[in-house]
Amino acid sequence: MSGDCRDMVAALAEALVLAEISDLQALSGLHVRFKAIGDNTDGEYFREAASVCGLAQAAIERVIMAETKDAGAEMDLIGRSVVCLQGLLCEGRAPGELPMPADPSGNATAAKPDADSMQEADLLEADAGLTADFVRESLEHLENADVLLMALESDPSDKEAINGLFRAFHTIKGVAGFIGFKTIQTFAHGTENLLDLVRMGTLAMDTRIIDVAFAAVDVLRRRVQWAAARGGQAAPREMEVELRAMRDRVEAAAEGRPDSAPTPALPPAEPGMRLGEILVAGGAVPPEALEDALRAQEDARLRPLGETLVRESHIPAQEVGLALRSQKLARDTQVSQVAAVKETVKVEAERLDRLLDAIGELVIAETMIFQSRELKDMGSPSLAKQMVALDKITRELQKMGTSLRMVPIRPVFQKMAKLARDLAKKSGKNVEFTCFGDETELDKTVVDKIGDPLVHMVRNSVDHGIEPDAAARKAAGKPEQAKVILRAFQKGGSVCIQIQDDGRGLNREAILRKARERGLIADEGATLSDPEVWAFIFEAGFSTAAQVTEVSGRGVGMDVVRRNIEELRGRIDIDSRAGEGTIFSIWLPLTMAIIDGMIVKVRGQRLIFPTLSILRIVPLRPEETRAFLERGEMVLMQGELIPIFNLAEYVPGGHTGAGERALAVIVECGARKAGLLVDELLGQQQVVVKGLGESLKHLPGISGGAILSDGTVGMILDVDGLLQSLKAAPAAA
Amino acid sequence: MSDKNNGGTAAASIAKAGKYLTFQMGKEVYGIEILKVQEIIGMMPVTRVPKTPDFVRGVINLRGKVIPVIELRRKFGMETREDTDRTCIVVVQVTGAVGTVTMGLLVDEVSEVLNVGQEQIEAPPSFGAGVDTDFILGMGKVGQKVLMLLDADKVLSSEELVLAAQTKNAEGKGA
Repeated sequence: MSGDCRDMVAALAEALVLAEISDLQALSGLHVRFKAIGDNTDGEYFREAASVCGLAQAAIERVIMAETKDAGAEMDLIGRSVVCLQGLLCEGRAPGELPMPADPSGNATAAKPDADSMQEADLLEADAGLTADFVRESLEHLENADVLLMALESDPSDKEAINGLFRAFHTIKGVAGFIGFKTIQTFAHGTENLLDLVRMGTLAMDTRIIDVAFAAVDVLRRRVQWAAARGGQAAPREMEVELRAMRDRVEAAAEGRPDSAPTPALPPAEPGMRLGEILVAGGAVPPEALEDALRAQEDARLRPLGETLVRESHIPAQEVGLALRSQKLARDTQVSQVAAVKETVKVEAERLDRLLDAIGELVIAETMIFQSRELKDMGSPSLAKQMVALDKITRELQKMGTSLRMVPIRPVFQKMAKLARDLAKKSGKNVEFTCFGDETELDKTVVDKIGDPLVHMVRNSVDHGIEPDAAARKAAGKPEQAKVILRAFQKGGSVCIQIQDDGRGLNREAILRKARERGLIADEGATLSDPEVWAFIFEAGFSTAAQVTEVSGRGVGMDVVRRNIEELRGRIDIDSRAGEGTIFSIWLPLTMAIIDGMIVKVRGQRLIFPTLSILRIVPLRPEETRAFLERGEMVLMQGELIPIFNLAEYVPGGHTGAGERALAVIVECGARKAGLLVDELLGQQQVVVKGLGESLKHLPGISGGAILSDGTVGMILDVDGLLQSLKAAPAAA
Repeated sequence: MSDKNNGGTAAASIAKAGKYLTFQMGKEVYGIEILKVQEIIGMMPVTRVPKTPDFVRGVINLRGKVIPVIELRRKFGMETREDTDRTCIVVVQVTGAVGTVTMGLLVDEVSEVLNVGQEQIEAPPSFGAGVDTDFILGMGKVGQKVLMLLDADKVLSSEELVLAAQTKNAEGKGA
């Protein structure tokens, strides 16, 4: 027997020398040899030899099924196993004298993971909620990117689409970075660089870049889905290879080198696909060959299909191996996805809106009935009782309707806390980050969209706001530990989110210098008030950071922040003192659906001001205003000259006679104030905001309509747009 | 912007046979494909909207949805008249550049639904350059009646509801 064993070991050693990692057929041959040796050993150390064979077999299985972090290390282990077997079985040496391969059940010996996968392995301890958020967000961004790419296919010059695409990768990069998904971060960063070149106009958006971007989206999506399924586990080797190859393609595109055509791969398998189906779908096997093989498989009594196909030499073994991996990957991803999904019911937003519309109408109809004179005239006590009950239910329904979309801002704040910690660590600053009021509830759409701007703002605070090191803080007479505070609180019908730091404050001079460079101002800007100067940082491409870093700069940021916040019908204020710090305050409507409105009458028509935009309302007679160049009017109020506009000019039709014009609604738009003359004040009310439909989307000065308590529609004014359109027309005295 | 199909010749796309809702404006009878009509409602208070062309009467609350109402008389350049108790709003769904849009058409009076066969339809007559007949898909002759069959999508190409002389408020906002 031992002689046989010797031969077998010798043959094994030869086979090992010839085997390539990627040659699955050779690997399975090795597997068979190890198994045979393990089953047939005798002699003094047969136990040890059998266990060594077992370890080697396990290692081969891991390589074949791509379950290893580092195939090279596995191959080393297999090699060491052969040396051991030679020692034990051929030379009769004791196990103690030999480098016995250790059991890699913890993958301790088997894997020498590179830094990246190490990082990600640590993530097993990472907050699962964060990962889930990241995955959801990234997939959304990727889906978006796909849509934008399709738009670019038809119009490669679409600036908005290019910017959107860039932002998608930019955001994924940022979030992946602070969660610690290094591989994803680097990859997204590379793609972002490529798109940045397109954005700057250095490269033209051509079919090649679109192709590369499409492929990058796909690769990234698979990688993110893997992260979703497996949390921090290292991705299988072919996924890493795929990612690396893709990264090279992206770099090649950025540098204008010719595109390495991607190696044809089998398409990713759907969960539940059978091996044969995967191979046919990938075009690796013609369907008729598959049928032959299936028949042959039946004859051969349950020999695996892959083996049959290879034997019938329809297909190289590598393809079968890839298909098997693909099948397994799909299965794994599916299984764990099922496990991770929380039980919620997804409802189409449109259905929810229709429900809310219906509730709104019910409330109006109910109010009309409840207040109808006929009903009161009846004076029936039982009817009155039923009406009260109906009223209660209606109000309850209304409350529920509005709360349907409300979620706490906590998850967003948690993300920010983590981000701030990471940023502080990266920049070596000592920062204490605290959150207040994370239970504050906001409309879900608002919470979903506020993440991006907040990321930029937290970065801004930690990166630029806080002094670069403790020495600088000491010199300024501040405690070494810097403070960054994130707060949310509700005030009336709106929510305020504040980001406060006790750093350097905004640098007025630097901003003005930059504004001059960019041609935003012609002179020294000495006459500009602080808020006007601060407002410059929201200009596109206005970054005062001296260099592009991994976390900020590039001028992506504050302009996006402002746009996002305006889309949410909010506004952003800056309060900054040199040397003391900066407070950014974001004011947001509680929900996108309801605003607190002040209803006024002008020429017999009702208009609604968002209460947020009103500073105060003062009685004002026309004779109190002063003419200005005979074209405009102003009024002196608390030492300030405020331009006055007559809202009657804005309103079509209605009463032609001049109204009372007895009240001025003083509004604030940016840092400027203005007064708008109205006839009377009808009161304050929460109104449900309705869009005016696609066809009336871009009305200057109107942000939407509201259905008032009598069922008719009132126009909701958008103060910024209103002032712009009123300034265009001179006010008639 | 100009549609190649409308060279003013009979080569323009012609109305399809089918059921048409007919309504009157003064003495003229118009037809609109019944498939486009969602409902017909009586007159209700209409809120005027600033910065819209004069043919936009305003907006109404249609069961919680705000929809614009077009005064067809003004749209077609006819003389206006007071609303009567027969004035009503035909709610239609038209397909524009931005997808499907629901709108109301303010008409003098709704008459009936007529079946118009292909043989009863002919191309709209040409009145020279002065008269815009772009939105007339064809003329239907049913018995003694002559209907003007409207291309609702064209009449209400939704882009033109906002006055062109506006300051673009979306992107054009300064700092």
